[in-house]
Amino acid sequence: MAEVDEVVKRLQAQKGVEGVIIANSEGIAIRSTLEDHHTVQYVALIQPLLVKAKKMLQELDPTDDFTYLRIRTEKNEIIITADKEYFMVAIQKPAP
Amino acid sequence: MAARKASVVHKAPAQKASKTLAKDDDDAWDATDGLDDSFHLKSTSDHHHHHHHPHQLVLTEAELKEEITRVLNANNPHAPKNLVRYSFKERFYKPVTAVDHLAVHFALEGNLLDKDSDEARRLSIVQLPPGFVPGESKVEDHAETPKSTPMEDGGESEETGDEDKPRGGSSRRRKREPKITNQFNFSERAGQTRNNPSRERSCQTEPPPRITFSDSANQWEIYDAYMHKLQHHDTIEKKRRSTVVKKDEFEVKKKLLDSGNEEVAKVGEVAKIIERMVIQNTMDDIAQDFKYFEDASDEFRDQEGTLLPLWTFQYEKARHLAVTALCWNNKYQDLFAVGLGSYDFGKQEGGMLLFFSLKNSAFPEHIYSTGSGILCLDIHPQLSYLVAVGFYDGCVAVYNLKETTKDPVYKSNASTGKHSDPVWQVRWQNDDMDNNHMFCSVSSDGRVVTWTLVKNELMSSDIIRLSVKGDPSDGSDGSQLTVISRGTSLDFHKQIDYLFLVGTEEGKIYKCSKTYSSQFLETYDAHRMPVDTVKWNHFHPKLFISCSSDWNVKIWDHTVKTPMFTFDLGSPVGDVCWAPYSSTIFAAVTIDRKVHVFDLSINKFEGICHQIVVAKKIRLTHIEFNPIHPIIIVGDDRGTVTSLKLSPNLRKKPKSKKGQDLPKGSEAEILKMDRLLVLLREPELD
Repeated sequence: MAEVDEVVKRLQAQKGVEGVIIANSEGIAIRSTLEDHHTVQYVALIQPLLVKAKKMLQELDPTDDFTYLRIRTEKNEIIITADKEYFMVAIQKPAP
Repeated sequence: MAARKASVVHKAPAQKASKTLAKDDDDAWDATDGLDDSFHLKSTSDHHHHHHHPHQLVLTEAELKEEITRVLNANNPHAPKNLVRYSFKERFYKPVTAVDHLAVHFALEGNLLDKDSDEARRLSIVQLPPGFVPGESKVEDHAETPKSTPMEDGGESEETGDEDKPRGGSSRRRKREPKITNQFNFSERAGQTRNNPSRERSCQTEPPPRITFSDSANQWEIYDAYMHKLQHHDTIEKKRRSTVVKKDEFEVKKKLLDSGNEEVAKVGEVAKIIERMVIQNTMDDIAQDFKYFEDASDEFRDQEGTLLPLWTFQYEKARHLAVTALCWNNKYQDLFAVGLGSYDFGKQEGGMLLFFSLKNSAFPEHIYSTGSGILCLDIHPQLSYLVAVGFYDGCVAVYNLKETTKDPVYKSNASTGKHSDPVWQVRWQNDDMDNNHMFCSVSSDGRVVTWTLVKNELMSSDIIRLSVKGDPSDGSDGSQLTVISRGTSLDFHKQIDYLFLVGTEEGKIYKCSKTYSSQFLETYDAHRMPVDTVKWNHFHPKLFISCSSDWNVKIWDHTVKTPMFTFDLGSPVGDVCWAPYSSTIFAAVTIDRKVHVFDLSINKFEGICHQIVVAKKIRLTHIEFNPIHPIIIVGDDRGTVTSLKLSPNLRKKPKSKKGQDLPKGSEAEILKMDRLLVLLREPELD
């Protein structure tokens, strides 16, 4: 558990990283470096997206597996990784 | 109505005049009859004379005695006599003959009802005093119900009600029938009482916790679930057979305790991926360079090349240590190991073993801390999780990266035959006949030792002792002394398993065989200072390279006692390394912060690249080529590893003539080298 906390700390210290969130599959955030309402918003919106993405991949190719999802917007980049029970979100401002 | 009677009035002649007036409207003034009489009397007494009123009619005597009949009838004097109604049929006004002669003088409405009428009966029920039961109706005595019920029920409830309720006029409430309203002048009187103000009292509890649960079910899910259940079932069966029940309970408890931590720890893998990606984003340009940048200016630079700096890898806790060993992993070619320690005899502060990946330059993948400084390391070529490490205090150890503990799996100590001096080089060997892993180490104590991993132990066996028979004159009593030569580097031949080279502190290189434990096959007087590195060529079976602090890098053919090539680099050479993709390219690092790259097929006398790669006051200590990517890593004495990309000029492969099939890579390299050597040897022979 301490390792994970360390990783979160390191991530937060990286250049351009605005926030890191770890949440479980039910949509409850267990670690977050953002404020509560932002965290809740992100988690609530990302969770169904993840479910959809996983199902999509499963349908396309059953042997394949979901690794990560990157959403690049004009202002930010949102990186989402997931495993069976947890998913993790990092929001980063891309390098200029 | 006063009846009118026909009256005959006897008129006196004197009153005739006045009577004529009265005759005109005799209908109207009934009441004036009596008055008339008195008036009549008065007037006769007063007006005995014929007093002529100016308006009075003058009548003759005969006219005055005439009898006039007056008729009294019951007609209404006020009724209109000349009503006309317009008749639409005849189109003119017709007089209405029938006129209503009813005159109402007084009207008073009473409130008496016929006793036997319906209304009276109903009213009597409501209004009668208590105890009085009129006629057939019965009294209801129901307190609550305001609606009307049929008569029969009334009797029953009355009986029960009478017993319960006291008979007080105020407390008694009748069953209310629909209210009987007077049809003529009903007026409702309503009154409002003061209502109590209502106050809201409410209470709120916490809502029960709700979880939104969603999932999807399809064939895959069902199948997976069944397989999972089957597996689980199998494992339980196995456990049941093997373990005691008590133990199971204990394990279960343990599991419960662990699961709390496991929850977040499981995120570890996912976290790793994210970290890598975030770093990739920050260092995006470096990653792009690594992959795609090819220095185009190399075309204009003749044969020289450059090194493009990519990532730098450092770890804060290793800042005070120097990089003493570098090794790439064969299986995962982005992973490399860094051994940290200190070359300074006086300052030994422990060491570290770090594993970095090119994908994450900010933080090492694995960290191991050791008590003594590491001087050398080697990753097993096939089992890339086994790492052999040699320490400054003479120990060797083997780490297993798959294990989660931070300790070596095997470690040598005094009893198992550790070296008495720093271990300068370790190299993995092929497995021995019992399929145990083996590696060799060389140390300043003059021993080359083979270590075998047998079960849980390291077993050592000396291959050879680097002893040199000294001159008879050295010994004080004239006897021959055996001087132990201090080995500083070691390399095994790539193809010939038993053949290896040892470099020593005295500057000599010995070619040895594992089978001969007492003699060297060959001795080369290589350098004047300790030989820091010896390395066999990856392709050519005969060549090896050596470097030393005496500023020289020498290339040898092991069959020839003199070096083929000698390069003076102007500064103590820390390390030298052959390129894995070419037999003629090698790189060296010197203490003056430079990396030198040589390609013998292009230039036999000078290097094609000399580049300063670190800041001032930092010394470079080691260099290694990546097996597949065109990058090299360079370690320095501040614990930092710098990665550099080789420009195209430094990576030249032998050109193929058109029409000619290119021979396989290694053969081509060998051929290339041979051609060179042939060129060299010819002048020598001369």
